[in-house]
Amino acid sequence: MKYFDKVKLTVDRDRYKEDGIQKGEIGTIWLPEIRDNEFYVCFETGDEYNWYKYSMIKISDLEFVEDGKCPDEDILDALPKNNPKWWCKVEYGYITNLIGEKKNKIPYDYDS
Amino acid sequence: MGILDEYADLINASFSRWIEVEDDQSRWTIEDFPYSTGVDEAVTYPHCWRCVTVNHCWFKNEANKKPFRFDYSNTSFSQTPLSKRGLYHPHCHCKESAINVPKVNNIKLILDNAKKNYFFDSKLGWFHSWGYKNSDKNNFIEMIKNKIAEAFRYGNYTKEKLTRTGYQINISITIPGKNEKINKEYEIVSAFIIFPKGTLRCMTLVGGREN
Repeated sequence: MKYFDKVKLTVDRDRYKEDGIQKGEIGTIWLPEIRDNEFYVCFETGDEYNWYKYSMIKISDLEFVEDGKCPDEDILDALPKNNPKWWCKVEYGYITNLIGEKKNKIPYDYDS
Repeated sequence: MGILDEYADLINASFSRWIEVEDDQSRWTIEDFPYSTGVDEAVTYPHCWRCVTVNHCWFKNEANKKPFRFDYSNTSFSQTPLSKRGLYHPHCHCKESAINVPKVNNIKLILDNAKKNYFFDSKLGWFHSWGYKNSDKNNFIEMIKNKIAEAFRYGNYTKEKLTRTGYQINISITIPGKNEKINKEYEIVSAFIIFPKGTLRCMTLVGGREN
């Protein structure tokens, strides 16, 4: 999972509901960086005056749906201060950055 | 700084049209986590993410255009004595400092290529419906950036919410039509995050229209 990939919300939580988002909805990863093991995800509303709704969503609550084909150079361009050390991808259960470092020790356990 | 100076600053900021939030005891800002392990709130401890996200950011000094102050009206002095009261929560070190009204060229926009491409890929129909052609894309981006900076400088923004990604705002701007739509105007809403020192990070270039 990375910037502009399509993802599905797999869990209902109160704070997602506060943002108007429910389990099963499909959205787009809308900021490149991972903060506190969460991606910022954008969902279409269908409302012509307010096209999008957004929420910070835990990586473990997301399922990959479709590759947004965002190249690494565009991810780097969008990262704060263009710093390649920011965590920005989830691959094979690991949170990684653009220089290949892994954040978690146990795959799919993002807090490890 | 003496206590009188602090009160003078407080009064000055109260009457200023623009303020900068400052936490003299925190080096952290929303954009600056200079460590290799990525963002982790434990690193900013004892500074909470709410204060870090607005540290050194500029806001118009009006309700709903800047972070909410903590409401102490229901707490007693024994619960939170004056010395322990903070701007946004008890023990918070943040203060609001008066700054000059920013000029348009003081406002910097972060608009990454992926976001621009997404707009033209997903909303090309809207772009064309305003009379613009594909060859106008670069000029359109420059125009909309100027309009956004100008709108922010005049305080034409509304708070959306404060999250770990920052203080999010919606900015309303008017897009002039072009070619066959030359006499028309279109009210649109863009979404941004306020970054330090007058920087705005684009969330959604065109996120809806005014109703």
